Amino acid sequence: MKKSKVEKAASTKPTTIKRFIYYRDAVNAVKRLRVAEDGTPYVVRFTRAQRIEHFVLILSFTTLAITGLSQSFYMSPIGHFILTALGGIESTRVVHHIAAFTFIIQSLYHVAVFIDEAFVHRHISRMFPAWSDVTDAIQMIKFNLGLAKHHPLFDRYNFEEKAEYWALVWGTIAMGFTGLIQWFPAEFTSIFPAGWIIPVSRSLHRWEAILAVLAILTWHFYHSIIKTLNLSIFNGNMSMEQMEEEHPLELAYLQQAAAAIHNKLWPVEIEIPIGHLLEEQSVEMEEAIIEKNAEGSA
Amino acid sequence: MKRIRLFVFLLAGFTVLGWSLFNGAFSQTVLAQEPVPTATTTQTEVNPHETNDCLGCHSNPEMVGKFADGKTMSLYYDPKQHDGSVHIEGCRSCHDAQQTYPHNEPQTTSCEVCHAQMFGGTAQNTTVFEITAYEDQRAVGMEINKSCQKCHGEKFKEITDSEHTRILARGNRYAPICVDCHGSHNITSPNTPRTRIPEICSKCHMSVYTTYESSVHGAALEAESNPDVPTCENCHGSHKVTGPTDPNFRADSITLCGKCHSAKSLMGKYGISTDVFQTYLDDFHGRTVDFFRQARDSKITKATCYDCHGIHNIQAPSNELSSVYPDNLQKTCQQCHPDAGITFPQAWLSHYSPTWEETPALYAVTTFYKFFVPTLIGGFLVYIAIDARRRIADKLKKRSVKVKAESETKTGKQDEKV
Repeated sequence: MKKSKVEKAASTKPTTIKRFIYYRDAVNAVKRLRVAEDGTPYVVRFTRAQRIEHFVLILSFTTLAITGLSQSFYMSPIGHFILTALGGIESTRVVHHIAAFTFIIQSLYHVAVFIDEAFVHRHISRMFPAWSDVTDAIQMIKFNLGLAKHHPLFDRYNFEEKAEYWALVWGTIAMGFTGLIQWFPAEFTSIFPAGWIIPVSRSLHRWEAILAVLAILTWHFYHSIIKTLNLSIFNGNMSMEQMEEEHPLELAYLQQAAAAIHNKLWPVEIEIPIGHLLEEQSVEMEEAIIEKNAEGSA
Repeated sequence: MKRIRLFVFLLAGFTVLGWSLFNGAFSQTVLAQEPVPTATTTQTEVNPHETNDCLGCHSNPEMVGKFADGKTMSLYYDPKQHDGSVHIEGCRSCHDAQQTYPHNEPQTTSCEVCHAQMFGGTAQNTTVFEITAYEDQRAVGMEINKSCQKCHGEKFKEITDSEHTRILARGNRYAPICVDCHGSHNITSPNTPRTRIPEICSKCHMSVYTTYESSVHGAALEAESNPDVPTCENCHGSHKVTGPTDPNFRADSITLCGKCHSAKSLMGKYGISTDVFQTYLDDFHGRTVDFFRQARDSKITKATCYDCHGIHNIQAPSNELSSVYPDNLQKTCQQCHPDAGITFPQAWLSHYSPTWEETPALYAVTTFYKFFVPTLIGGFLVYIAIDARRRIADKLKKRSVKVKAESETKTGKQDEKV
């Protein structure tokens, strides 16, 4: 019975994904699939601009977190030490404001890049959440618990990275507005017809800061440092092995898109084979079932 | 004739001497009825100069001292002044410079000055004495003031750090010294009744006193002699007097107000919230001021309690005169926030912790995050734990498979050899 179920599942799964691509996408894929001097192929995951952006983000976020939380917990020895080291609470606020300004400018730049990509280059980021992210997440948890026999296959961004990114987007909006309200209280209360926005902003800013820092320390650090050391955001590159492991669908897409470079008519529909990926998993599945059956009979 | 003239002269002299002695004895008898320890009946007939009886001279109400600039001071002492005083010591315990007679050596006081008629003069006994050792009455007082130190040394240590002492050191001789507040002959407990304290200070700080009297604190003190409200000394100290000129006074003032206003035992009686101090510290202003206070940094510009509530003119927030009365709030905020609009004061929660009824938005946000943050981070941690467990398990499994395979090949090779 079980075996037939597996067969059924395998047969209903599509073996290819079809996607329309433009010439630009093919060029981009060719550019991203590279070979090192010693002959090992690798994939370019992030552009230089993106890496610089992330670096600025690290600096401004860390500065904001340190100067902000030390103000929030000024009674604690660490908070007091930081505030004193930075020359008092007033100068700490100046540092906080400079970092906040950097953060806001950088966020606006990010939005500008998105608009440019979407409306000028007609390329929508693959960062937008999809239903597949929900199913991926469920499958991942199931797999980790031993309830599913194979883990989900990820595209350019997996659901973990998407959660991270959109949490940052929300955090930036929340922290940006509540921070500006506290920075310019008189101006904002003259626009807003209610004074309570200031205490609400203060409370929200503090809680959101704690949440953001904890999220970075847990979620982000686990996925990008502890689980597997992923340095692609710093050096821009990812090895083939890591691509196969973490972003197999993207790798398959890149290979197909690069292969379509000599096509004459654009856009073209390419077929991304995922059969071999699923096959590996189904083989694993079958082995596991056989193992289990053997255990049961024994 | 010469003999007769000499006889008459001597007779006249003795008559004058006898009359004056009688006169002195009479006045001493009158004084002896007063409860003054120095005046005893045995001393009445003795020369006041020899017995060091101060009252012998200083009981004369007309006795005045004259300074070089022509100004005078009364040298009269009325023993009644000492009634009720906490001090029962004699004159010389304090009047150090007047231990001997004549005072102020080496200047010699001629007998003739007082007893002119005795020396054939026609003038009445003088009651005006020239004082050359001191420039004026203040100098006399300041000199005698030093005697307080003999018994109250610890208070002298305290006043060295007093604003009053600093003013004195800068050359203002009228800065208060012990006697200015405590009195000289009539020294009584300065805080019995408690209303005496602001009255003492009002001698110099009259305008502050009248303001204080009309404040919520001062009015309660004046009306019901309320033991809970602060008088001058509760905020400014008594001997170690501090004020806004003290660099730390501004930052320290928050604990000054906070000490009483966070005490349930004091505030409960009047239905005043004790959250005020903590909510202030939780807020932007309080946080900053408290940090400056802890850092002993005086360059503090953020609002303290009194910047909003007023200082000596402090009123209950429900009073129309209060600077924090709802209608007056915008003006109060504009002291520091000139652009503050009509809704700006609402940003301030009147020292109340957020509640659903008063500030639903704030309550909702705070409550949401209180549950959301632990839930989300907890969820993250659970997810990470599950993921990490699986990865570690897989790694161990892979390793064991590898080891197994290696050992199998080894044993296989051994088998081949055998």
